[in-house]
Amino acid sequence: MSQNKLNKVKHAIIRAKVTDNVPDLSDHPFFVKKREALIAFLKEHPIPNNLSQKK
Amino acid sequence: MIKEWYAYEANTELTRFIFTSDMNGVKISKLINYKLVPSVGRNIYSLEFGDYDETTRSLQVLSILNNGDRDKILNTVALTVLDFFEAHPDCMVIATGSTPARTRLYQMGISKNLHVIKTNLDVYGFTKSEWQPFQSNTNYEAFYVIKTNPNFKK
Repeated sequence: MSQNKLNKVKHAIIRAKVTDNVPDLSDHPFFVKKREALIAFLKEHPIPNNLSQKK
Repeated sequence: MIKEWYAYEANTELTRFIFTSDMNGVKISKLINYKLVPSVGRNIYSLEFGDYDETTRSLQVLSILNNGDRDKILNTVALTVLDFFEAHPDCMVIATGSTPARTRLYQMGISKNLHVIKTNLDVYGFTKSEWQPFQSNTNYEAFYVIKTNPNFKK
């Protein structure tokens, strides 16, 4: 995250305590498998553009 | 207004969160990931949730939310969604449970906290072969959340 963006975030209402202690298990096979299932789901049921863009 | 939640920590990018469920002396670490899924579009993140074993530093994939504090856990997850969007306002978060029961649990969490979530986020669910604005008392297979009036583009 850029310093400029981080500065903007700091002024937002963030409830989290930001630390270096959060483990990164995003490549765990369980999460990977779940993500693959999600990808397959979205390819079968794509989100229409009119439900994802500016109102 | 969300009444009860667990204090949580996050990484600098606000894409990983961790907190400890603590009921009757039983402590379980809960991990939440917001992982970019580039193969389905730009700025689309998958919400991933699991129990973290501090001893083995691994994920407990067979976790069950039965520590007696289900609502407090779901409230905490909802707050991490709000925090995520503070840092990533132009993104979309998609969530589905690893099992139908878990998806139902997420649905309950969204319904319970809808009034807070909808202050500046829009929630949609997939049911009966279509995506639609989230409504309580409707069974969904998946959900996505975007900021109201977003600059999100797939």
